[in-house]
Amino acid sequence: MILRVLASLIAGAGFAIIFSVPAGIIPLASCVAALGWLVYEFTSGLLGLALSVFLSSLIIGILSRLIATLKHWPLQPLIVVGIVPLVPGSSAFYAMQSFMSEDLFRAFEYSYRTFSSASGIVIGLVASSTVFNIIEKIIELSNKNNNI
Amino acid sequence: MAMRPEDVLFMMILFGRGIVSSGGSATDVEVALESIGKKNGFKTEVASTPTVIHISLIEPDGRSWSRIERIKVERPDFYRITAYRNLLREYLDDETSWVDIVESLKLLESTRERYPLLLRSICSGIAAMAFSYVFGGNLLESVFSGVITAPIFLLLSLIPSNRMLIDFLAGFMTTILAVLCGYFFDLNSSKIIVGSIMPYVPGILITNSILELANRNLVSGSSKFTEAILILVSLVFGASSAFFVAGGLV
Repeated sequence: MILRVLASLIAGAGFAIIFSVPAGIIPLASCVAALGWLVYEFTSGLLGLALSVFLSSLIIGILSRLIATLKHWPLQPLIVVGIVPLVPGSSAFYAMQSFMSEDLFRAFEYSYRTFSSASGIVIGLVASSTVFNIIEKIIELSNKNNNI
Repeated sequence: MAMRPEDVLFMMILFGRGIVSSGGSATDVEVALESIGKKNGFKTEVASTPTVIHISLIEPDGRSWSRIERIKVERPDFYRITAYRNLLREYLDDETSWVDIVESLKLLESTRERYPLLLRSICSGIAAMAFSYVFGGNLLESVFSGVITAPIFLLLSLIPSNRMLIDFLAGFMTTILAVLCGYFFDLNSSKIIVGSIMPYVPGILITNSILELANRNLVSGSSKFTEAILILVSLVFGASSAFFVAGGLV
């Protein structure tokens, strides 16, 4: 498992360079990718595909927003590199391959996996925005109370 | 000095064109352009799709200025997206004059790739190797995946062709080499293929399209989803053709 997490870190860094992410952002963005995959590895056996992808992308989203706020970096490269190991590229490929070879049972299975993963990522990222806003509000309120 | 509407519109087009062609989302473009319009006292209506931007500026007395721009889609470039975001922040915070911003935008538009092609090719190989391992390949299959991917990425980046043909060739070349490696070294060729096709598979495009659909950017989301499906069809058609050819070879 540790090797797979390390591989996801390397995959994230490789993709970051292909997509021309600024060099300063790459190390932390790759760490976000590795952490996301670690959460997925821990939870996929217990929670199933969609929920584990949701949880991973929720954590990736919150962490990316935190880093972007603290470092004044753009959010998009952090999130995109972070979710790279989770995006359903391989299952989308297999789904299309099964459709073309008229293996409809496998095609629908892979399509379901693709749709579940993509939806899990999207809902996780949208939820992370809300959770991060709530955390920000709580910190703001507690700072105000401390000043009073 | 207040900016003339045509100048505001020109700056908006430079921002919008740059962000969209660098792979930014419709939501990013609309938020950026509306903030420029608001700063200059205009009501702004923006409709952004991956290939066309439509901007309307409405003055307080009701007169309007409009422009439609066709966008040439390029591959995602986060260096440029970051630079556009920083320029926008500088403009909104009054750190730089609009004349300097426009000059910087023109310069940024002509910027070449951030990293050299050779480095990107090597990184595509490293990423493919890592993906093959993450998706259950053994060490040798992962290494073959990386070794196959880097030269194919380099070769296909040098071919001036349309995206569908590039994806077809990527699927074809990757699969044929993976099947040959599998045959000669007794490896699982599908584990090699799954790593090698990752730099071409539009996983991020699929996720972005659903994200845009969730944000009610229906035109942008559905057109990105269609593009992703076309890319997948090209890749799979290439891979299927290669299986057919390789079946005769091995």
